[in-house]
Amino acid sequence: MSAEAAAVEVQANEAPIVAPIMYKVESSDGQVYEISDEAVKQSNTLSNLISTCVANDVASMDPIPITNVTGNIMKMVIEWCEKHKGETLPVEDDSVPKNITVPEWDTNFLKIDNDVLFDLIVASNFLDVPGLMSYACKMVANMAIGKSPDEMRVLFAIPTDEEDEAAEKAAKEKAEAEKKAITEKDAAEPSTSK
Amino acid sequence: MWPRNDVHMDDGSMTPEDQEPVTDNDMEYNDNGEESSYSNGSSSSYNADKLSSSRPLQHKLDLSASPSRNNDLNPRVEHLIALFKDLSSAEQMDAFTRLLQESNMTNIRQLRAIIEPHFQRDFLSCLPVELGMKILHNLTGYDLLKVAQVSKNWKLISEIDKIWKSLGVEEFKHHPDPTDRVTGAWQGTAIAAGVTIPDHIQPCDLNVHRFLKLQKFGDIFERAADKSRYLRADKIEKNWNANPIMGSAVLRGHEDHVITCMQIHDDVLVTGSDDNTLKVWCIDKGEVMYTLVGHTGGVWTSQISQCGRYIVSGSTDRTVKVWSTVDGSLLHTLQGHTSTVRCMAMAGSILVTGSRDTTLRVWDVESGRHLATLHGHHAAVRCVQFDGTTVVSGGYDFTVKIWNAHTGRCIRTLTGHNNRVYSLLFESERSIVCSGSLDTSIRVWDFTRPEGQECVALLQGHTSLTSGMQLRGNILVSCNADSHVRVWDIHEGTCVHMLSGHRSAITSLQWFGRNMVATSSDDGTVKLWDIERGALIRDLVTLDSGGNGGCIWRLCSTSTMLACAVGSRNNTEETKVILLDFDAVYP
Repeated sequence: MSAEAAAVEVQANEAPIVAPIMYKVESSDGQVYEISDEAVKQSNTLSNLISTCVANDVASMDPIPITNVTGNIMKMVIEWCEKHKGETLPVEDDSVPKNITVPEWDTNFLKIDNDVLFDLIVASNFLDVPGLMSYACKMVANMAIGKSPDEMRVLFAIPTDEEDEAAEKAAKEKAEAEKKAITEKDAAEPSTSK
Repeated sequence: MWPRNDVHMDDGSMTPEDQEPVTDNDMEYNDNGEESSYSNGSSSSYNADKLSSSRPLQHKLDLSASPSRNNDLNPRVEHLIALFKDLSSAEQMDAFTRLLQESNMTNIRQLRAIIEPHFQRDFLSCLPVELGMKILHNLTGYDLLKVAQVSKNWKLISEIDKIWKSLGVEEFKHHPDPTDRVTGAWQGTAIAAGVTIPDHIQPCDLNVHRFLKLQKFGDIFERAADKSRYLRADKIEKNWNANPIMGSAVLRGHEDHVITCMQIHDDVLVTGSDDNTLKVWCIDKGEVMYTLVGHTGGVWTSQISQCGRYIVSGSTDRTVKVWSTVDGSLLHTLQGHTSTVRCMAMAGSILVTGSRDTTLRVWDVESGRHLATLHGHHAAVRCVQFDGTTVVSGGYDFTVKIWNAHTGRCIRTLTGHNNRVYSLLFESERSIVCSGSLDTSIRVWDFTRPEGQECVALLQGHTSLTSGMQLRGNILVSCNADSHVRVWDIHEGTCVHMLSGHRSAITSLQWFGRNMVATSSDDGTVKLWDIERGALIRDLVTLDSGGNGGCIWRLCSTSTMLACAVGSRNNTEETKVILLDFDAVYP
C-alpha cells in the first residue's frame, strides 16, 4: 500500500512537469496501442525505429506497423514495458545456469497458457526486449527443473521417440498407398483409351 | 521431420469439413492460432509450429465424426448451438460448467484431449535454436542431462557445446586426459593381508573395468565434447565421493626405511627416504623409473621444479642435490650448509633451502650457483615458502621471518608464537602468511601492516603442533598432531568445523576438488572429508596394524589419483606406497 502511495505521489509530482510522449504501434491484426517514450527504451527494435524517424508532431504520426505480432501479444509486451520503464536492460552473460530471479509481478504476469508464453517469447525476440525474454525463458526452464524425462514429455506434449517413429512409419505407409492408388488409376486409363 | 509435415498436410486438407460443425468461438480460436503461427517470424519454426498443432486437429477430427453424424440425425444439437451463440461470454462459461457436470467421463476425457495441447507447448522444438538455448542456459548440468532424455530434438539442442562449455567454468572441472593405470603395479591391487581398502571393487570385476578403461573417448565425446567433459568431471567427483574404487597399486621400495618426503608432478612420483635414496616412479605404468643414489645421509626434503625437469633433494649429509627427471642423472651437488638440510621451496629455477644450521641459502638449480645466504634465525629453520622474490621461513626460534631473496636482507620478523614453528603458508598476492606452531596456535599475518601489528588472526583450538595447512580464499584447513582437522575462516578468525575421526597424529593433508580434503595419520588410515558440510566422506585406506605401529607418513594426490606412503618404525608394516585410481574415461 505504501508503495502504491509512493507511486501515486511520484506520478502527481511528475504530471505538472512533463507529460510522457506517447507513440502509437499497430499490430498485425490492425489494432493500435500507445506506448510511452520511457517504456519504448525496453525494446531495442522499437527504440531504433523511433530514433530513425524525425518526428515534429508525434500526435499526428501514423502508428508504427509491427506486422509480426498479434494484438493480444502486443498488448502484453507493451504492458510489460510500461511496468519496467526506467530499468536498465539486462546484460547477456554466458554462464550456465544463469542466476536469474524473476520478480513477483513478472511471475504472475507470465502465469499464462504455454501457447501465449510461446508467442510472447517469439515477440520479445522480434521486438528485442531482453528483460522480458530472460524472464520468459526462465519461466520455461523452471517448468523443467527437477522433472524427470517422462514428466517433461507430459508437460510439453512431446511424443517419445518410439511414438515419433511409429507416426513417421504410418505416414510413409499412407503415402505409399496413395502412390499405389494413383499408379493403378493411371494403368486403368490407357486400357480404357485402347 | 519432412514426413511429419506430410501428415500435417493430410490433416490440413480435412480442415474445411472439420470447421463446418464447430461453433463461432472455435472458429475464432483457430483464426488466432493461424495468426500466431505467422508471428513466429521464422520459416523453420513456422513449419514446426504447424507440426505441433497437428495433434489438436487430429483429435478434433476424431471428435467431429460423432457430432457430424449427430448433426445429420438430430436437429436438437443444431438448435442448442444456435442458442449457445446468443449467450454472452459469461453465460457461455456458466453453460460450459454445467454441461461438464452433466457429461460422462468418456466425453470429458475426449474434451481434455482436444483442450490439453493448447496448454502444452514443445518450446525447444518449436522455437528457433538460439531461443531454445536461452531457455537451456537456465538449467543445471543435472537438469540438462534429463532434458537430453526427452526426445531426439531435445537431445540435439541440449548437447550444443556452448551450453556445456559455459557450465564447466569451474577450474575443478578440468582434468588431464584419461590415464591407463592398468600395467605394472596396477595389475594387482593394494588389497593385501593387513591392508583394507573399503569400497574397493571386487577382483572379479576388475578385468571388465580395465577393458572399459581403455575406451578413453566414447560416443558422447565425438558428438558433444563439452558435455562429455562435464560428464567425466562429474564421474571423477563421484569416484572420489561414493563409487567403488576401481583401481589400486602397491609400489615397493625403500624397504625397512622411512619415506620422508613425496611429491607428484604430472605422471612422476618422487619419494625420498632415510635410506639415503630417492625413487622416481611412473604412476601410469606403475613402475619405478630411476633410483637416485648419491646422498650419504637420509633424505629429508625434496621438490620437483614447476617445469618438471629437475628433482631437488636435501639430506642429513648437508648437501643439496639436483637431479634430472629425464634420465635420473645427478646434475649438481650444492654445498654450503653446515648441518641437515630440512626444508626447501622453489620458484622457477631458483631454490631456497632451510637448514638446521639456522641459515637459508638461495641457489640457481640450472647452473648450480649459490646466490645468497640468509642469516638471522637463532635456531633450526623448519619450514620455508618462496614466491620467486620473497622468502618466508619459520624456525625453532619461534619466529617467522620475511626476506628479500635477491638482497638476502631480512625485511620483517614476525613474533608471537611461544614455541617452534612447524608449518607455513604464504600467499604473496595478498601478503598473507599462515604459521602453525607447537604452541598449538595458528597465526595469520599480513606483513604489509605496520611493524608489531602484522598478526591479523590468532586461531586457537588445536592441542598440539600443526603439521599441514592449505588456504583458499578465506578458508584455511589445518591438520594437527592432536588427530583433528579444523576448518577456519581467517577473516573472522573462527573455527568453522572440527573434523574428528582419526585416532592419532595427522601427518599430511591434501585439499582438491571443490570441498574434498584427504588426510593421512599415524593411526594407519587415510580419510576423505567434506569440509563444506564438515563430515567424513569415507575411509580410503585402513591398515590392520594401525595402533600397533603401522602408520601413513605422507599423502599426496592429483585430481584423479591418491598416493600414500605406508610403513612403521617397528617393522609391523612393510614400507611401500599405495596408489588409488579415481580416473574416468570420456563417455
